[in-house]
Amino acid sequence: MKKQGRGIAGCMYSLTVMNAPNPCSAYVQMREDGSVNVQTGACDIGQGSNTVLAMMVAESLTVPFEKVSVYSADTSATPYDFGTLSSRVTYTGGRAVLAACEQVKGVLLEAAAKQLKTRPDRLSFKAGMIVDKYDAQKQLPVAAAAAISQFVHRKLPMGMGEFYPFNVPVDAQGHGEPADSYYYHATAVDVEVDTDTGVVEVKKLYTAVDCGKALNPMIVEGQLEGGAMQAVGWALREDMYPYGTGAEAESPDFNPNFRPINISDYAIATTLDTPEIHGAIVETHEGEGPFGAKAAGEICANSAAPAIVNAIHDAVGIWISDLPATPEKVLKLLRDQQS
Amino acid sequence: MKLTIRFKLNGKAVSAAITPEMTLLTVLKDVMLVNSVKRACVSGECGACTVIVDGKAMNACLILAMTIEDKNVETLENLGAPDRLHPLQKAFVEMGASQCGFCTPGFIMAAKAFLDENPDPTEEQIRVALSGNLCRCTGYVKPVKAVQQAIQEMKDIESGLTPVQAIQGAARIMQGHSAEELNIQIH
Ligand code: FES
Ligand code: FES
Repeated sequence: MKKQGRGIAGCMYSLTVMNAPNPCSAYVQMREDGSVNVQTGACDIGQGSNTVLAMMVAESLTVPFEKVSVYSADTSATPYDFGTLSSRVTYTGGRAVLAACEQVKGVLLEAAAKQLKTRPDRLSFKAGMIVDKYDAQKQLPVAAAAAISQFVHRKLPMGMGEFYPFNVPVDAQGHGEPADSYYYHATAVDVEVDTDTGVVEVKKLYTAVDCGKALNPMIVEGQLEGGAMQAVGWALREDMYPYGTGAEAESPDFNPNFRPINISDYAIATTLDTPEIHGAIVETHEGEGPFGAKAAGEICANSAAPAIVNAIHDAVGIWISDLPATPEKVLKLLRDQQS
Repeated sequence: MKLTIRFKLNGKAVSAAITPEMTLLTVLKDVMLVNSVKRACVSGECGACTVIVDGKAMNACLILAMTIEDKNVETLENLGAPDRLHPLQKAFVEMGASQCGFCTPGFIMAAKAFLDENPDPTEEQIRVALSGNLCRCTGYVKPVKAVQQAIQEMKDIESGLTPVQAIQGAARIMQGHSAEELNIQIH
């Protein structure tokens, strides 16, 4: 018999690494034609940070997105970054890149002020132009300011930014502030449990993240959908365990080989296992974040598994305490429940 | 033992010096230096190495190179270039259907071979056709939608709309408006 159930779960997660210094740094230089080169150790493993960092630079320097090239994550050439983990890249990388942009802007304003015969503090950036706030006649394209600075005033429009996220390592008494900021996620699922076979199927999945300002909503959706699907896999079928038995496993030197080692046994979900996924972006404004952004990273995979476990309980009244909820485990618990 | 095989790679007659145990994947990646073909599981499980051999999508890691003598091998390089993307490539870019991108060439080649045979599939048929391609990043939502958008665009190009109109039309249809409502002719 097939039984339906519904479950929800929510979670919070730290932005930036907890209890440890985890800086990011970036070099930004505007070339004489107004194009911008960005170098940073922040590594884009597919989450879209190169895109988002380029968007931030474009916004900050008011140049078109296409003019910004990001060169990232080359340890022999790019400045330091702690790594792509703990949902820190948009936030930390963004702050580092923006700090570098501020220096670039300072140089450009100096040059523009000399050229326009005014003071830097009267000038502001507006859609590719540097404009005198009190005398609109006085304006200069940003690219021209870059060229003038470089060739006339002998000052390169470049900046070096760094950002250390705030944290106070938690002490033995549990006092401290582990991370700079936190973000939130929730999942709701409808599942169907086949009481004859133990097979659990996720029918519908709603996933929502509070990512601060969604700088690129399409990328955030991608994170939500991908995270959801990973979590469905972990909840229902993907298992990895140390391999080794008896005395070997008891020994303090036991260095487990994890199994399975290939994807024919580690069955990740395919197009045919995907439930109907609905993503929702809950925008908030993070005051410390770059343009109000927080993150949309690992958290997207965090609350689906508990939601599925809750839904299984709702459907058939059993509690799965050890993931994945394979048909064998579900059937065994159903039998135990009856006896 | 060295052998020479001759085959067509993206329409061009080529030859390669191989040893008998080499797979098509090894020949494409290491001998012909084709960039798009990805080496991942090397056991026929993931589809990252998908290429089209005589019109059929195949896992290059499972084909012995010797068996492709005189055959026609097509890789992603044959589909388009940055300034003239194939509708599938364009749709993958526009929909954000690629994250780390490791699975993407395989997905696009699998979809291409499938659409060549079945230009008007249902979503279910698309999912079945792509079920041999694994993706860890996207949750398959956007890749499947991208294939649907590409189908729409290919139909629109056939029906004589300008590419821009066609893309706008497809985008609106994806957002739930009907073609009639928008006065777009589709057959
Ligand atoms: S590398 Fe060929 S199927 Fe995975
Ligand atoms: S985009 Fe990363 S595996 Fe598909």
